[in-house]
Amino acid sequence: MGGMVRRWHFNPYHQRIDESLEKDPGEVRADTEWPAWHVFRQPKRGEAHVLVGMVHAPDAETALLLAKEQYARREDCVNLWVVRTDQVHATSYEDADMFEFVSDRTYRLTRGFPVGEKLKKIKAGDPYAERLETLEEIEKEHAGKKIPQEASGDGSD
Amino acid sequence: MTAPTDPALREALASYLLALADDELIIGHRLSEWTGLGPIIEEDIACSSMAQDELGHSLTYHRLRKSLGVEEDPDTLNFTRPPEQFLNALLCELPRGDYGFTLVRQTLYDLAEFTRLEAHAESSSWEELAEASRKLMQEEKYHLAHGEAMTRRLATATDESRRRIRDAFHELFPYALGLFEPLPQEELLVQAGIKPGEKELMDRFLDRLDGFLEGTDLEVPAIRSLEGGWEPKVRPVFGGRKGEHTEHLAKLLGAMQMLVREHPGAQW
Repeated sequence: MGGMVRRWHFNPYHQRIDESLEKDPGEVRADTEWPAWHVFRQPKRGEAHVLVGMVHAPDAETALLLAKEQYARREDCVNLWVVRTDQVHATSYEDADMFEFVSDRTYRLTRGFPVGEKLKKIKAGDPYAERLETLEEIEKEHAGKKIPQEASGDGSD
Repeated sequence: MTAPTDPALREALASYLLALADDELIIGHRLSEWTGLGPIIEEDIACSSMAQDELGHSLTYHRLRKSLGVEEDPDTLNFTRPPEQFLNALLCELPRGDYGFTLVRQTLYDLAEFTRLEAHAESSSWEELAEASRKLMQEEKYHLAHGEAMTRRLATATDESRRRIRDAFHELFPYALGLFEPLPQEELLVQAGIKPGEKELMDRFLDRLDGFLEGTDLEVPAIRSLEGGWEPKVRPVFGGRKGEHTEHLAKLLGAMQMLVREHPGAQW
């Protein structure tokens, strides 16, 4: 690039790119590249951290700072995780067949319990539907009632 | 207190706010010149993002001027004023240099800005300025964290990085002191309790810088005076607050204002 004739561009970006290319980059070595980190962003407290991309950084503190600028500029964020890519352990795509079903595995599913049927009846207002109660509903039903005393052994009750 | 009503005080305050707005505008512009050319893409994006933050701060100061009753439109001001009407400190208009130069310049600027914002937030008698300063401090905290992390690492890494940081620091320090050049109506602002004096702000800035440089082989080029303040060993570079600028500002404005000057009144 040293012998390049200086061109004039209207666009200052193009101008500055030319100027940068004219400078000698020096020796470029693979071992001078920084490690890569996966970035996870949490939009709101209580929600899951979501993978949003990667940054290159020399260490965790810088990775967090750079990830803030790159991934939390515009979207909601209350928390960021960074994990070095070599700390992520993954299965191989060659072994993806281990997740396939080769036989009928319906016995692993919970289809034997007709919960859906009961829910439909309750929603339809069927008074004879067997009630499914949550713990909260049971507590509400019995709120304020005294717990019945157990009969004492000596017959005084 | 609500906005001051005394006309002389209002004018002094309007000038002060314009000087701070110009600081932010010009340094934001210089930071944005790295867009597309940063050494690594993450730093490129960080510079661009911080540039936008600085422009947002500039707008905040213009809004404060508006609430004082100043009717000047920020766009008209920024795109039509000649260099001698800009009140920014010379530190902001220096060309971007190499990446170490930008980093040291930005870190010195952010340390000084944080010192000033803290003083406004803690003790300004004008509540709106104190409130706005508190909000800006939130963003500045992260500029400082970024500058500190990168500068500290480069200042202690290889021989070359140490040399570049040291050279940049010694070149930029006198200009950083120029951020504390008092405006002509400084006394009015200090007496009204709007801000502390520039000398006091400079002392606080140098305290902060002293702490920041611990662990590097750099030192503040100043001596502690008997009263607890600092006496710089180098002469500060003043002139910006009086509109006396280097040729760099004219070049910067030539690029920034070119389109508006050639097509005045154009709608985007």
